[in-house]
Amino acid sequence: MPHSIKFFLLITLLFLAVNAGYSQGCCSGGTPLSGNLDIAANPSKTLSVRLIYDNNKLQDLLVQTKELEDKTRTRLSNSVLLRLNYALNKRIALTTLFSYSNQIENVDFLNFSSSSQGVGLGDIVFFVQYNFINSNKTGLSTALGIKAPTGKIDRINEETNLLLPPDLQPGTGALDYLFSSQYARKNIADKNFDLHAGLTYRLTAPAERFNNQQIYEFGNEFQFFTGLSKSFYIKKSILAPQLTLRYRHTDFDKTNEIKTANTGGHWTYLSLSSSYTHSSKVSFFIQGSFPLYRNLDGVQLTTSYRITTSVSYSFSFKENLEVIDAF
Amino acid sequence: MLLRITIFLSILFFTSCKKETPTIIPSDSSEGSITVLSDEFEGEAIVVVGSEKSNFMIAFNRKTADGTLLDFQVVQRNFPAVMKDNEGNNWNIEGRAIEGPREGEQLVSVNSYIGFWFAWATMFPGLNIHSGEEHSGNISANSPAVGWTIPTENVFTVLGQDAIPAVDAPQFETYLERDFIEAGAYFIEDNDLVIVVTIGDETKIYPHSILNWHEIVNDVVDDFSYSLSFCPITGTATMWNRTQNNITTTFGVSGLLYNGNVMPYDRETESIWSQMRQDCVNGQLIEDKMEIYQVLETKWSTAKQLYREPLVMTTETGFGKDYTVNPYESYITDNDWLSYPIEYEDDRLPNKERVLGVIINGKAKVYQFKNFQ
Repeated sequence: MPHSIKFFLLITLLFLAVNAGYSQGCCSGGTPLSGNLDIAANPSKTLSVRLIYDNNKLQDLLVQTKELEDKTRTRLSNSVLLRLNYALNKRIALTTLFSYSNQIENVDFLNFSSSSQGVGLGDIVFFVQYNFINSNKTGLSTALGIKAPTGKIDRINEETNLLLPPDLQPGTGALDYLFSSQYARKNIADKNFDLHAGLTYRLTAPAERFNNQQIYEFGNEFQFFTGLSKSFYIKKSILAPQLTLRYRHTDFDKTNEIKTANTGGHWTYLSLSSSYTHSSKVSFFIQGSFPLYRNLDGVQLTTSYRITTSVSYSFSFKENLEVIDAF
Repeated sequence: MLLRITIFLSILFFTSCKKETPTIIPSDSSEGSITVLSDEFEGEAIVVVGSEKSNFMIAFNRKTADGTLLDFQVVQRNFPAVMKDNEGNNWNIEGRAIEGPREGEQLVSVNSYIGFWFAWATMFPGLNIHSGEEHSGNISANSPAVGWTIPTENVFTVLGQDAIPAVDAPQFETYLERDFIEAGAYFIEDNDLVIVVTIGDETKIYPHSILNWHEIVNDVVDDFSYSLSFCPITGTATMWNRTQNNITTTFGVSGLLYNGNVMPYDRETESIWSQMRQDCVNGQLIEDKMEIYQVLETKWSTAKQLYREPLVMTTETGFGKDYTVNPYESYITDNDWLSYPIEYEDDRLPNKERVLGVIINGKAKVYQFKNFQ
């Protein structure tokens, strides 16, 4: 058995072991920053600009692992993210991620309906990436960063003048720390497939709200993913469909250091996606994610499906430093 | 209309002398011993009757509608009688005389309901505990916010309005024990808590297992429209008239919690109310009081001994909830977990101990089940 296949199996087994070992845990809204870090290595002196649109529909009401038939609540989370990545050299890259989100939650049953909405610029992520391996066949990268509390956390319900729930706010109000690592291996299984795997950890901090009288802290978040892709060469373009298994765990949120009910949990998603690289500069990406397994604490409204699309453009400063002016 | 209604142990601020036939069935009762406590609080003479084993506590005024002050003694193992007085009357758990010169008369109920200790302690800081430790320490209160009668620092938006759906068309079935003995297990187990409401000859049972998911039931019996609310976080159940100023409205769950306690809103004006404070705290009806009616909270095995063929709310609510699951199970059993911050903590009793709180003149006193062993 080729080494890369063994590695893939090992990671998969590790994933399954981690998944089985956790018990329960959290809510699912908010700007999808952690899931869009993507620290794949780029060629040096390259600025990669990616515009991401993320549509997250939450209509599944779960009690722990059981999905209820109740569909009276729906939350739509639409986010636009701008990701800028600049590779200083073959080893080091800098990345920043801006976000804008529009979340609306509707309740609709019998003759009653209501909605709550949180809209605005979200938090900004900044991280430094180091590529341990950056070859044509293998990539191994690690990133450390922060999520700066630039997003609003004081959006209110205009009828009551009370703050919206934290997970409807565009930002979290806290300076969080991020760690991410990603592995990619091309041409495994007799050159038929590429392997990718990675993990992300977000260490959260408390944020003061309501004239510092309330302190809310989202639970720490861990994500792990692994998947396979296959590249098809069409003239000068590459079409690469891929299958990814993603696991996410969040701890309980805390309000004034008290464990917040109905937060935290374990999610496992299957993502079907495809990238289309038109040239060395332009690429498109589309992904649909669907829940496979969820074990949540208490009762939570959670993702029914998630669609992510993006378009990327790369500027190489190695060849022509003036190209940035065109952007 | 109110005089036609004898809600369980009488109407709180009114006295009904209507002679209704009690719906309580005779029983030799193997339930645990009952205790009757005569007490005075805020100048009012009250009697509290309860049983830890049977899981109920309920309070009445010892002064009758005609101004007579009665002395009560316990009656053991003679259901439906639970206490007798110095005039030779026997009284049932609803505070109704079932034997003696006052037969059919109703005791004036006291504004009281069962809830978790922490909720009583934060809503009524420094309150008295019957036969308990005196409060010590300073109490500092925040000022009400503009447009509110309460400080909003401890008002949390947990969910959107109606995200927890109230039930507006509850369905009921008549409970006939023999049917369910033949059919097998009933959906309410003996130790499950229920709320009992009696209006005239009609007794309705609302199981906690359903209320946990809806928190408010808008119901009607004859011409009387009422809302029954249960807050799983504070463990409190209250009932009020939902006809005010000749307008009948329904109440929904606002998604707000004040000191962890549910805040209903009325759908007519969208004013926000406090369940435990029993008044409107924000909106057009601010400072209006709820017209409160007393309910009985007890376990199912006690309720089905007390009432012949009661109407039991069914799980046919129209919502796809799973009523076999208690979403608050781990919360209830963890004394240290309050879930949402509260304004004032008091460690004289365990946070989640269920106590009966009595409110008179805006002050409260609590009674523990250990007083009724």
